Parts: sequence; C-alpha cells; structure tokens
Amino acid sequence: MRTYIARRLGFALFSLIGLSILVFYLARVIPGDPVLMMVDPRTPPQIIEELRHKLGLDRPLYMQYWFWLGDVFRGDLGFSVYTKRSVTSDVLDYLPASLELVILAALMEVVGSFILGVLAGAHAYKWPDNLVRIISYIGISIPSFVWAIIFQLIFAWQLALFPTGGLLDVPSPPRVTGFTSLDSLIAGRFDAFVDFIWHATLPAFALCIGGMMQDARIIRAGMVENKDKEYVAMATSQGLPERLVMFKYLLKPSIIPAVTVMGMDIAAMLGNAFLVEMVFVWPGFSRHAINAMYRSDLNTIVATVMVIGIIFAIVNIITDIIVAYLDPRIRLMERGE
Amino acid sequence: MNKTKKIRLFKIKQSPRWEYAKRRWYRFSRSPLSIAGLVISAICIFIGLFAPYIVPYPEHAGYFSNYADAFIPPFQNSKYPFGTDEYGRDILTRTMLGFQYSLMMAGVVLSLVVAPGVILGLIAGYYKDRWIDMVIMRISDIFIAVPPLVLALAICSVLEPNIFNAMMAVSLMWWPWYARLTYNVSSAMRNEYFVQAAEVMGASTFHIIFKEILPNCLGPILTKVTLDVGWVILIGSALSFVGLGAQPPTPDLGTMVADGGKWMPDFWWMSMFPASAIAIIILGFNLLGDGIRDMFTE
Repeated sequence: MRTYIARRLGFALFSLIGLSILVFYLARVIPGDPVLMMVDPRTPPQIIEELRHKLGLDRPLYMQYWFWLGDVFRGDLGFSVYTKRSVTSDVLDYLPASLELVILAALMEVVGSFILGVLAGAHAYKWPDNLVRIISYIGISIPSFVWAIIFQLIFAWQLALFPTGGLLDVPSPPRVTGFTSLDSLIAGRFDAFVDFIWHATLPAFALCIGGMMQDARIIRAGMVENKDKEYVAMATSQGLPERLVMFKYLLKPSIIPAVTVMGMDIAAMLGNAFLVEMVFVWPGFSRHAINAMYRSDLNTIVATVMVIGIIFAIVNIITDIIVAYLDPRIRLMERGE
Repeated sequence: MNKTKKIRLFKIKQSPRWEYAKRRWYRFSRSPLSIAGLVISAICIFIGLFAPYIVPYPEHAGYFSNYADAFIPPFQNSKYPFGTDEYGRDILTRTMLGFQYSLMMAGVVLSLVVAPGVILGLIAGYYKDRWIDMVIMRISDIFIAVPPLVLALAICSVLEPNIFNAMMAVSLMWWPWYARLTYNVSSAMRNEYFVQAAEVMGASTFHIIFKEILPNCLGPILTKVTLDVGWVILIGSALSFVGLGAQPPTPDLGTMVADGGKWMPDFWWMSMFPASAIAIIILGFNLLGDGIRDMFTE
C-alpha cells in the first residue's frame, strides 16, 4: 500500500513539473515581451533594459524557468498586474471560497448519486429505475453554467427561495482561516453559517448535478451487473437479510468504478467552478482568475493553472487510495509485486 | 474404384462484413433511445449545415439593429417565434446559426485530434513498458493533470480570444484522451494470439499496428468520438460563455447565453433558447454514443 501511494505521488509530481514547464512556456513565449506588456509605451528604452535585468528576463529561458521554480517553492508566485499585489496573497484570499463551494458540491454529489443509484439499482427495470434514467440523461446533457442560469432564474428570481448571488448578506465573521463556514463557526456566528450555506446551495447544486447523475448511472449499472454473481446468490441462499446483502455484498464492489469517476468529476468541478462562479457572482478563485485572464495577467494565469493542477493531483491520489481500500485486488496485486 | 466426389460448398451469398454490419445495426435499432439519439443528431447536423439557407432572417447574424422590434417576448409575435434580443435580432435565427459554429468547433477539433491521439496510443500500446511508451504516456499525463477547461482558458487568454484560437486550445487539450483510450485497449491486445501469430509470420510493425490491432480498437474509439461531439461543444460554449472564445456579434451559442445573462431575469428568452440548443445537441450525441457503445459490446 505504501509503495502504491509513493508511486502515485511520484507520477503526480512528474506531471506537475511537466505542466509547469508547459504553462511557463505558454505564458512567457507566446504573448510577446513581458517587460513591454508591463510598462507604459512611452518608457525610455534604458529603463526597460534595467527592468528587464532586474526581473531576470534577459537570461536564457531555461534559467528563467529555474529561478521561477525556486520562487514557487519559496511560496512566491510573482506580482499580479491586475490586483497590483503578490499573486500568493491573492490565491490565499480567493481560493478558500472556491474550495468551500467545490467541497459542498462534492458532498452533494456523493450523497445524491448514492441515493439515486441505489434506488435505481434496487428497483432495476421498474419505474424508479426509468425515472432515474430520464433524469440522468437530462442532468448530463445540460452544462453546469446552463444549470446555474436555470436555477438562478427559477429558484432565485421567480420563487425567491434563494439569493441570486454573492457570498453573505450578513456582516462577515472575523477572518481566521479564510473559509467563511469555518470562520463563522469559530466566531460562534451561526447566522453567518446558515446564511453561507443558503448562498452556496444553488451554485453547488449547479456544479454537481451533471456528475451526480452520471455516477448514479454507474452505481446502478454495477449493482445490476453484480446482482447475478454467484457470491450474491450464495449470500441470499444462506438466508442473510436482504438489507445486508444489498449494502455489504452488492454495493461495495458496485461503487468502485463510481468512486473513480466521482474523483474525476470532483476534480473537474474546479474547472466548471469558473463558469458557475461567474453566474452567481461568487467571490472565489475562479472568478478572480477569469478577471485576471481578461487583463492578460500572466503570473496569475500561471498560478491558477498550477494551483488547480496541485488540487487536481491531490484529489486524484485520494481517489486512488479510496479505490485501493475498497478493492482488495489492487492491494494484493501491489503486495505481490 | 477411386472416384472423387466433388463436394459443393455452401455458398455464402453475402459478405461476412455485411452480415456483421447488419447484426450491429439490429442491436442498435432495438433501443428507442439510440434511435432518438440518431434522429436528434441528424437534425442538429442538418441545421448546422444548412442554417444560412433556412433561417428566416440571415442578416441578423452580425451587426444588425432594428430597435423597433427589440425585446419582443417569445410565442407572441408570429414574425419572431422565439422573441428578439436587445438589438431586435431574431433569437430563432441566431440560435440556428449557432448550431453551425458549435458543430464546426466539434468537427475541427475532432478531426485534428483523433488521428494523432489514436496513432500515439497505438504506438505506446504496442511498445508497452518500453521507453517509447513511457515518453508518450508521461507527456499525455501532463495534459491530463488539469481539467481541460482550465488549460484551454489559460491558452485562450494568452492568445487573442477568438473562435480559431479556442479551437486550437481545445485540440491541444483533447488528444491525450484518445492516446489514453487507445493505449488501454491496444496494450491489452498486445499479447493476444492473433498479434503473436502476425509477429511470427514476420509481418511488419506497421501491418501489425494498423491492420491487426487498430481494427479491434475501432469500437471504443467510435463511441468516444460520438460522445465527444457533445463534450467539445460544451467546452467551446463554455469558453465563449466567459468571453474567451467566439466574440460578439458571432451567433455562437455560448456567447448568446452569456449576452442574454446580462438581461436576466426579465428577458430570460435571450439566454434560455441558446442554452436549450446546447443541451439538445449534447443530449442527441450522448444518446447516439450510448447506442454505438451498446452496438459494440457483446
């Protein structure tokens, strides 16, 4: 198990370094001279040369990459042209709100897909199954930003059950961790916590609904497939209660493929959050990154891709560990090698 | 007496390939959902191909304004069944023209991506556990290390945002998925007897890869291409939605959804009709892709 995790970490690190080279190249070579983009067009050439030397941009590209990588490991992601601050502090300011949204969406996705998938699998080829199938086709084919607009139109504008956007209506709690939900609990402000959840429900639901429906289908397919296996027939014939057979013998092997896909979906939510945060004016990292992209703020763009890459890698490794835990075949195969 | 009797062989009237295709079609046509997918996709492609000739107001595609007819709600004026936008342009016309851009996006991206991805995947699968496999698959891992949308957004933002660069950015993100898929299928086939038999007979590597292994990978690849039409359109419309893909006044579905979003909730039809169009295209190709998958699974 330890070698398995170590190897996964090694692959992830390798991909991240490759990604950093790719993004660095994209950001430094394609747009043109970074110094000229930074300064006023009337700046005398002498000052431009000085600035170029000061920023290390007169060195060859691989040297620039090396120094940039060193800065990244020291936690310095450069200076943002858009906010006129250090990119690191921007990331620390904006990332928690996005992470909270994605975590809430991930929880909704896991719970929702389990309920729907088990419901459909237990009543395969009957009306609950067909209903889940129809809902899941609709859920998959509508993109998350369209769901966001639909939910905003129906539940926020027409029915006024939820707010149309933003993070909080009440004064925000004192900043400790940056995570609004944790901060409000630390400060004992339950009104802020409830208000936060109230604001986050629609965007989180818009974010997770496609993946939730897809996973429900996968769980259902796994249950239908495993129902005919001999070990299930044996457990039933030994007189085990139906509930035990269902949850212990049937569900556990059926959710393994779903867990893999769930991990990928949850990681992909970081990308879709870009769109949903735009619709709900959510003050998160993705919205900040889009605004930086409009202004061609290269350091922020590079930092965005790298931060999301790191979170993506972490989510994938956690998924692999959960799958290895659920599936003894992977554990035993690793031991055998 | 040694009399040889000539045995009349059973004559096959139809080629086995044709029989095979007929059996596949039977399996496909058994599912009403697959047929629905085929019909929806065909209608989408038809609208995409012929939109400029069948729309009621072709001139509404670009910079056009008729403020007398602005903000007409849908289903009230027979001239504009889906209503009009803030410049008085017909939403039905623009949505139908949007199909054209979306399908063009999918067509260009997939035609650029499938062949290189599949070839790289086949080579890596054939040389499994050799250095060439390591190089190809580790490079493809780099592109898979972030959600495709994020890197495509980043590329579009360093380039000039327009529909051509959006296509290039999405293509750059998309090939590793084909390499991955083909690698998984072909590397499992590496030790099958028919591949070993071809090797023993001295067939060239080219022959083995393209004549022995590739035909056996076509089912999953075809399924993925069909499903990907929907996903590429989704990513393309997402890029346009945030303003880093097609630029106004291009009647791209994502751009139209974003433009209409400014007028929510009072003028909801401006974004809801293009949004439904995106959903219908994705639904159609998803159903079709599922049908093709069922067709190839035994």
